[in-house]
Amino acid sequence: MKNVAVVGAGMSPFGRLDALLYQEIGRPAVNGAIENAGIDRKLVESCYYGTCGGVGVGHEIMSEAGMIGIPITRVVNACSSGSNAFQLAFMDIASGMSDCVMAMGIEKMKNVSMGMVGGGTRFQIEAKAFSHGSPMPSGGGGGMPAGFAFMGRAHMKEYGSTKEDFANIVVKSRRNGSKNSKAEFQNKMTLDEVLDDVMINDPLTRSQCCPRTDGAAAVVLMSEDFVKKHNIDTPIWVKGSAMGSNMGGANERRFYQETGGWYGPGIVTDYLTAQQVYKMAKVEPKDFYDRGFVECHDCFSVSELVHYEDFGFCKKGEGPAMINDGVVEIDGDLPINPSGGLLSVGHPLGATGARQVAEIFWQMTKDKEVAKRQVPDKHLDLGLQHTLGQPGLGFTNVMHVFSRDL
Amino acid sequence: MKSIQESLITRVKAPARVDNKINAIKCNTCGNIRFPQRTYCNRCQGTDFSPILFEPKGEVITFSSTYKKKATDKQRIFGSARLYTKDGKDSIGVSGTFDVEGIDDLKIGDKVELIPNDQYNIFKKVED
Repeated sequence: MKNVAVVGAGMSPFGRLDALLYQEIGRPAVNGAIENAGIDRKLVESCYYGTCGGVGVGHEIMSEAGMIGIPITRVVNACSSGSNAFQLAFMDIASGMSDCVMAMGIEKMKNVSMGMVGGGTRFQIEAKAFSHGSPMPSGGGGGMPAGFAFMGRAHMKEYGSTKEDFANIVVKSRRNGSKNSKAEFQNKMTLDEVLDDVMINDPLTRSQCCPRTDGAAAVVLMSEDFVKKHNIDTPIWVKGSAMGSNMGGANERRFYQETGGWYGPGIVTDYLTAQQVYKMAKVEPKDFYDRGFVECHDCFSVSELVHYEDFGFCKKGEGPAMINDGVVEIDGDLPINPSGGLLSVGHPLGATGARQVAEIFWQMTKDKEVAKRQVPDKHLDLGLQHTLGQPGLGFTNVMHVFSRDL
Repeated sequence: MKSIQESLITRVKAPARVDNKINAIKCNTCGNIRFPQRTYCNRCQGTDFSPILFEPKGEVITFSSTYKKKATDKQRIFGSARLYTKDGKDSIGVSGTFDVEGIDDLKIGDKVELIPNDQYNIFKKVED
């Protein structure tokens, strides 16, 4: 397998971009990545782009950017679409098929049927099977926030976590997001403001749920041969790549069978995918302390907190201490979501994975883009990227480990 | 003779409840519980099943409140409960709404019982 590096990244501003065409949203991302890499766009041999709502938009964007005639593949995998596109780009080069590939993601959320990703009408129908014949309540009943509210409440019961613990995730997120000029939300919030916000599904208030956001992000990947040939001086190497999936309780059962134990409130697929990516990258969770940082899928406050535990950064039930003791702050022992994460930057489904990789690339290359939220030097050895998609009733998790060293 | 389309149908026409008990099937090969019923096991792909009934009594696994778009909207409490077979050897998670006034009226682990209803799973709290 060939070594693969990220060599450039770009993104559009994230927010409500209804008035813009897909090409207009995608252009700054794609051109930004090419300029950031400092390469001739003719080097790009193929493109994978994640989008749930935009059929064929990748072709239009690549055409507008002067990169047509190459293989262009649309990837649809709910919230993991962008990560999945990145993974396919990685595999394209690792397999020896290509030497320079664009991974992109874009979304205009008004064109996305949330039913496709578990939050809307179709989910209500599918939930009937999931719920064993009982439709979930309509009008704010089923869907994504409810699922994570259930998880949060179970976490509170099992480990004694509190609503304040979850809300503190948002306070941290908004503080980081206030340093990100491309984030949808750039305002700080106090703990009381988060707790007193509109209740969606108890214990999740509105600001504990990521926004439906429009935006695009893109990264350029290269083989080791091309990195040398084109004198790329700041390649960031992909050391590990993994995807996991589950359906309903299938992974819970697998976990039971393999370990004989109850996993507890959290996401088993996160745990299993993390084990895979750590193995490939030859790292352990403790390696990220003092040496690395993380961009993870904080679609809800609860999800970020359980990720701390599922990734093995702490024991089950110790997630609250990580946020309350400042461990996950930009200047903490293990910075998590220095960009502001989905809760502040926003969540255009197809773009999020590419946006996270872009953040990791910029942080590790100390790009001016992240100057106001730069992670300290000692943390730039390792980067961990993670998305959690729900294309149906099960999860699709994608994770990557990055390093400045080959 | 079945049409090609009919031959591919795996859904089983079985009532969701019998005497208010959850009407499921258990794979005789691997022990996987299947509900709603299908013609095959989604763990081992086996097709040999035994019927299994889950009593309408169990306890709350987790829950949340529905979003109130308007102040006048009725807020419902919903989530899932674990129901058991009569001998207590098998269990199943079942989602539905809880017949309580507010979020503070319910706790994880509370004993609940399914209210007889052909369409919806509605649980009421019962004494231990």
